[in-house]
Amino acid sequence: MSKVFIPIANVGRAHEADIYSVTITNPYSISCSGDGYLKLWPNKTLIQEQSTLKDNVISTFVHQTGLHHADAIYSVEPHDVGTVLIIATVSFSGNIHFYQFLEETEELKELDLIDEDLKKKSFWSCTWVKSNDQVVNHRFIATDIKGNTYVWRFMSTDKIVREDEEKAEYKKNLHFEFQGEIPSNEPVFATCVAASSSKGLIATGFANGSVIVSQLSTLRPLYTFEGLGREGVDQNSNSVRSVAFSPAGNLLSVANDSGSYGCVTLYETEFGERIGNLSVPTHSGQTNIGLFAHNGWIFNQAFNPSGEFIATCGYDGKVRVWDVKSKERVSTLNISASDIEIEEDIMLADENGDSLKVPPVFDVQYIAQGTLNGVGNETNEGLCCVCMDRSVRWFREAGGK
Amino acid sequence: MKKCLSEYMEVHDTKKSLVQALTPKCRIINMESPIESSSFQETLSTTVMFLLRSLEYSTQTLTLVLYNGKRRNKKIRFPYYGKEPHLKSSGNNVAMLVTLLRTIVERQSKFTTSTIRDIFYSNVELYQNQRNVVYWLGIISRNYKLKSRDELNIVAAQKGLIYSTIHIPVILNINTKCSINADTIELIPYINDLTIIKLDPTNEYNVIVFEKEAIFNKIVTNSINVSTFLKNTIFVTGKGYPDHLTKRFLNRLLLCNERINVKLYVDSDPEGVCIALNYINNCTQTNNIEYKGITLVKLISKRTQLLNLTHREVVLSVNMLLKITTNPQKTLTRTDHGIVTQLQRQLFFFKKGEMNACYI
Repeated sequence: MSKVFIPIANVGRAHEADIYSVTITNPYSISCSGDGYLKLWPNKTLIQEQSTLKDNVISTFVHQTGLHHADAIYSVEPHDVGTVLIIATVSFSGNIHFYQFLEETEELKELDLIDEDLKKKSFWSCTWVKSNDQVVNHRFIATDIKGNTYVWRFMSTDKIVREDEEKAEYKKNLHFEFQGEIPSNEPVFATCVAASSSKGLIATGFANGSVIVSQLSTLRPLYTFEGLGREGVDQNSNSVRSVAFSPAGNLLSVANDSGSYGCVTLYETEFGERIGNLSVPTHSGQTNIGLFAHNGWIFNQAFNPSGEFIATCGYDGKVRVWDVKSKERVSTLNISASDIEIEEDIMLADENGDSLKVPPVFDVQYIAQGTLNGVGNETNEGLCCVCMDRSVRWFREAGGK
Repeated sequence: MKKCLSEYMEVHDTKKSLVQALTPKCRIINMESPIESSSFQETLSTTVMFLLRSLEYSTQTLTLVLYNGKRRNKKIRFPYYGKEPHLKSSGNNVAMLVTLLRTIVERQSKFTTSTIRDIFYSNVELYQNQRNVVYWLGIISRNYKLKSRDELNIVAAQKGLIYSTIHIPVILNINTKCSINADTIELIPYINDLTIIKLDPTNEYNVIVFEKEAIFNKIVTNSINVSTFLKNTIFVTGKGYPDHLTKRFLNRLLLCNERINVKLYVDSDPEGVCIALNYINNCTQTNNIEYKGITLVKLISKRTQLLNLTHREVVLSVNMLLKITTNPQKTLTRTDHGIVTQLQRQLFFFKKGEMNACYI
């Protein structure tokens, strides 16, 4: 059964340079770009005030070298700490920058969470692991260009136990406690990382085409998946570009290159077995042509909150939605630079003269029901993607439920 | 008759005075050029003459003092004695310095020029490697406070190639002229900072710079003559990282003529971007220099095979990004933005490619 997604909002020239990442929290869609800015687009005013989207955006300059990864945690913390929104973003210089969103002033306050000795590492990707159990801490995971994975526990309070009092007191203090490191056997660029809180697993993807799944509690490697991509061609690109766990954690989706194409392979996480590929028909008589999901590299993928569907985006300027159970494609969104509503914000070529008419899609995220405002968004899920034409686009699933 | 140690000890009853008595007398030769000197050639020939005479006739130890451009002068003691390690140098160093100075005096008197490579091969046993020749030439030019090492009449061998669709007259100085002929591949001529490269000011010219010699050759040795369809175009290649001469040539070309546009074509890898920056940073007086790629996006659209970046290249890219974006004295130009985007995409895609894929 196919799904139809309709565009509900878009903003062209959202940043001055390529937008490499977007993350969705309940109040904001957060984008980061090569221009060094982090921008927060309010979800609740996306539809009413589309022409003034750029006026409503909250932006902060982070680093001159540009930003390529961003992830945020939006959570209600115990012991009267209340709601916190913390954004982590990685700059091309290899630093991780943390910002806390202050709701009263609508400002971003920079936080210093990482120890000085770890700041010297050249980080690449990062992710938050939100825990739904109040006893278990949230975690923050980052990889570096040498292939190591670092894990921190996030704590919102300091526990103070006085001798004369039976009950412990908690004082608000957002801080990290370093849990440990998953060292890499060889210096290979760790391109992506994902974690499942429910199953307690971390998956790190590498540029040489391997994925290592480790235990979140002990940081011990469990499985290594290798040999992804087309075989038999020397130096053929098989870099892993994205890893994603299903919300329940029983599935791991790996997106990797196969030459200039993109493949998605699904693994179940209990025994580490491959259960299939997501692929489009290649219309070829040859049998071993490959199982491609996109006609270009796949930059990111995202499961919907129920884990039934997965959205992938690629260099071919397409966002595809797949049914996880049947492993069939249920929707394809063809992105075109001329889709942008405000004409002067349409960008057809970049500063080097390269065409952006069909802009590669660098990131896609699912939007949970009720996150966006407007008719239909209360009951339907949505998608948000960022493209090389420096645009951010929001879509909603058509029809009622 | 020379005294023996016991005789010395009888006369000098303290250690200090004994050491002083045993220390040989030393002749200090200050090689530094005095400010009032009439010309460099004159000073050079005089100091070399004194130096050679001292070496020939003096029985004393020599200490050569050379101005090194730093706070501390370079001193060489020959033959070496004492405990000062900074004065320690092998006899070979003195031999290299003296031989080089004699060669320079000879070249100056005959008004001839040699390449560093020629000098090295004239006495391989002495110089051991070409780096030694470059090092000592650097010291000599700093000692005489020369603007350029080339004033010693010993220059680096030409590396860059040029192909022009038009004839270019080059005025080296009042007496010396040379020219770059049309439709021939030539080595970039020896020029200095005062050279004038003359082009018709009413015309607009394009200078196309290639990183790779293979691409340069492919284009200029086309079966159809390039000048039939490309007017007023000059092709240049620095064969990888450009040498001083290629950079100086482009610099002089841009300074002597306002209506020149330089277009840089390099590989889509961090080294390529670094080469482009080498050219751009050499021509800071003008904005007529453009980075044209080849961009990674063009290579991807051609579905060429791309390679992963190495760890070294990742570090190089990050360093270049930091250098371009964190310079407080410079606002980013359009070219800078193009280069920053290119570096960011190479890192984000984690890929690199070569321009040959598109042009050959």
